[in-house]
Amino acid sequence: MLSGEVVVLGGAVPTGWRSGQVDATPWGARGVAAADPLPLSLAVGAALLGDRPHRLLAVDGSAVVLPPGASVLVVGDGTAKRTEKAPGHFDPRAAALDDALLAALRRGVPQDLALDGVLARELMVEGLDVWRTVAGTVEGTFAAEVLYAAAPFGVGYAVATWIGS
Amino acid sequence: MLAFRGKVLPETSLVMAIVNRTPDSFFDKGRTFGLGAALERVDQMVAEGAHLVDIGGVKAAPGEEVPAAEEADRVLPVVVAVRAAHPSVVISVDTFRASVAEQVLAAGADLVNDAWECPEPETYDVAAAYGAGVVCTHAGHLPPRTRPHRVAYPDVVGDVVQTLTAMAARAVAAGVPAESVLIDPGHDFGKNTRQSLQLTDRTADLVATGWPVLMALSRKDFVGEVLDLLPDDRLEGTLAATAVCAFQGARVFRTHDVAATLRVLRMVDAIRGRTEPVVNVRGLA
Repeated sequence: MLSGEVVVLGGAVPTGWRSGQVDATPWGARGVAAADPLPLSLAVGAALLGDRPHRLLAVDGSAVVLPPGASVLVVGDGTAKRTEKAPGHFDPRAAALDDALLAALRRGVPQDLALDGVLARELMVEGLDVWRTVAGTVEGTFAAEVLYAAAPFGVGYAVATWIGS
Repeated sequence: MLAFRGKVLPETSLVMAIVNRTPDSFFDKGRTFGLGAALERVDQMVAEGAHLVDIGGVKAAPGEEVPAAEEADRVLPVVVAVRAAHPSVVISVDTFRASVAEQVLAAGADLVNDAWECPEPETYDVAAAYGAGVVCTHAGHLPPRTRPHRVAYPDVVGDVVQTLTAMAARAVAAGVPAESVLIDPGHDFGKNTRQSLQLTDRTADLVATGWPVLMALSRKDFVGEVLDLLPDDRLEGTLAATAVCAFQGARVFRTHDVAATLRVLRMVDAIRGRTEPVVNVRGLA
């Protein structure tokens, strides 16, 4: 399914091409901390890709220039306020924002991922920056498929594929 | 020496009993919300051997907002009644508000247990004015009553040690008696389970600061996640953590289960040679 160069996009600062180690010690794993640990989103992407060659790009919501023909793994999420036990407790607006994000993923229209930043921050959408970068960077329409969408811990998760024509 | 407004505590490991005047705390779920029930609970816990009682009027988790006036209405009558009924017990009040601290100290409380990294710095000034104590608690630098979301630390133990020693120094600089300052790493507060476990494992690093360490472990989620058990079934896990922390020198244990915790602490203290066996006849008679 992946063609061309593989690029992982994740919201993090400093922005730009990044290298480093997948290191879970900042989240409590035992062991020696890596000298150059990756931010969470890029670490998740790198771990998912394993030995498959890839590059890592940290973004802050601004448009970026992607290598032509690249396959992109976007690592982001939805709100964290879906239930009383959610990290951000319950907020009645959260489900609607996650639904809008999911609808955009289903449609395969990048511009629809430009979430309302104020609301998304209030609802603890850690993926906000990466969704906005995709909205501002990627052009065209895609054949979209949502493989998973749920909020098992009160956080909106989704897995989707977009294939360009 | 550990002392609060003239009440000198014994040199053993100590028990702080939890009494929640809340309708919605995670374990007792309102059982001691009524004033009568709360006071009965205090009587029982003091009879079981609690050295300190910690009275709370606002649950730690996010939820319904409790205004300061209502919080004071909940905790003040308990403080007044316990002060009268148990003159020698150390009364602690679990609050992050300086205004509530002021009222309960005026009513005879001895210690302000702020579990949220002291969001109102004047709390220390208030405690100092009454010659009362404070608990300095690490809460992951989060605002009160919020949950951690993917909180990362380059070195969680180092962060806790640095934060708490700075807070304790601030408390003393504000005039809080040095023998009345406790530090609490704040298990689960701004931390995931693995981070709380590391802090448990490395209790000695906190003890090495020289400040007496308060551990608030009772039936918390880090115990629940290790064992995959709900709060009702977290006693053994809590007691295991209690023993590990006491063995490394933590001094005060905040608990829902006074009698069980006290037995564990007596055992650990005896193992470490801090106390003598109550009976010592075997092989010696």
